[in-house]
Amino acid sequence: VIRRFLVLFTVLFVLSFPSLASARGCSEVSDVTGEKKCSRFGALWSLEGTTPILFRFGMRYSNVTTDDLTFSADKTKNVGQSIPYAWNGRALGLRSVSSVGADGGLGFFVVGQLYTGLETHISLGHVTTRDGSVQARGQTLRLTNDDGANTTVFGGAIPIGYRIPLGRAAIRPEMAFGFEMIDISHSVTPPDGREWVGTAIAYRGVVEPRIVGEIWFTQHIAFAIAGGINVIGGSADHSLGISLAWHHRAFDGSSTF
Amino acid sequence: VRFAILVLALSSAGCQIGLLGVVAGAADSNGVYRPGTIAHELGDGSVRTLGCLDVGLRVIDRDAAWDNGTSLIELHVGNRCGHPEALDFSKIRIEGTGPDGEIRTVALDDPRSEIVRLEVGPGERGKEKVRMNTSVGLVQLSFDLAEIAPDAPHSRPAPLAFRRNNACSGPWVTL
Repeated sequence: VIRRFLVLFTVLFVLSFPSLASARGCSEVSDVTGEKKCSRFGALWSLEGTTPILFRFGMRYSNVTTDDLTFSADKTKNVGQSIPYAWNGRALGLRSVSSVGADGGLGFFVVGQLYTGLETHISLGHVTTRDGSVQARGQTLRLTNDDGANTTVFGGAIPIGYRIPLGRAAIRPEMAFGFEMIDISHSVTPPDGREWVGTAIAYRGVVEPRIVGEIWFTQHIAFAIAGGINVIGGSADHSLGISLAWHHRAFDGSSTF
Repeated sequence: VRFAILVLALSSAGCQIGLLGVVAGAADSNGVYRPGTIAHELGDGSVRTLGCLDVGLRVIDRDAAWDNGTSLIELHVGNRCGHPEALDFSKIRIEGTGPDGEIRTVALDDPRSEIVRLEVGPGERGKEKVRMNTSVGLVQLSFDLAEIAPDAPHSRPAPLAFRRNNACSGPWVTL
């Protein structure tokens, strides 16, 4: 599967840049049709010469429910020990974790305005935890707050959506399938009182229906606002995002429905 | 885990390419094509509107030391509409007139057969240069655009005509 994705990505990448041939080390010898070395007639302005692919980057706010997750950590070596432990999210007194960060990805149109792609996000947050105790290997570990940006949320997904063009705007209902990894740093105090900072990780699946609003700045650059709810997450799971995208094909092929 | 790493790697690449594309696109002064832009640049006499397409031509000469000073057609095309519009530039009909008034049929030089029917992207603006197979010695050129816009079959554009403004040697000007 990975090999197929890599081949597909490579093909799309190469096909999407006939106009940026110089970036591939190709220098045009002439700008006359038939004499061009790197591109062909219509490569810059025709649908046939452009690939329906887009690349985007942006910011994202997300809220992930944690009180139904199991966090685990298995290596805490700064006291010379390795103590695997796991605890329910409720042990930290958290209902959910909020984070803000960067996201982005790539997409391509499969047929017409039906698209898919790959996306990822990484964001940071801070949680103030209630003191809690967990049991690990017969010991009672006390979990307390760790200062600073103590939460990292990393996720990846495959969105599938349909674009409804509305002139210089568009609406895109889409569904994202993926995962999120929630990483929380916290202080751990074993019975001997020698505190250390531990990192606990939990995973959550993502099935997120979204609605995306899009405005075209030019025929190739669009600004988008997206909001979604993870239906297999907790009740508080939702995300909001803004992004800029560069679309190789003008208006993704059409700006009229 | 490998799939997660793959998603991260590809998506990160997407972010970077997106950033580059947005910066490069923003720096590019050619935004969405506005009707009349080509006419403003080339002059009304060098442009015809066929359905959604503004099609403009210029005739330019190569340096005499290069390719015997062959003339080139510089095609400008802009799509006024929000949907793709077909352009089949291979259907252009060209007539040349020699110094003695003889008429010659001129063809596009297309050694790789790449001038075919293409869909001009919505709001796109394009420019291409095409060599004519014979143009040396001609003093007048006439371009019939009636067949080049399949999506606008009812267009009846007047031919575009150019002549040399000084017998056989001057630059080409619109008639």
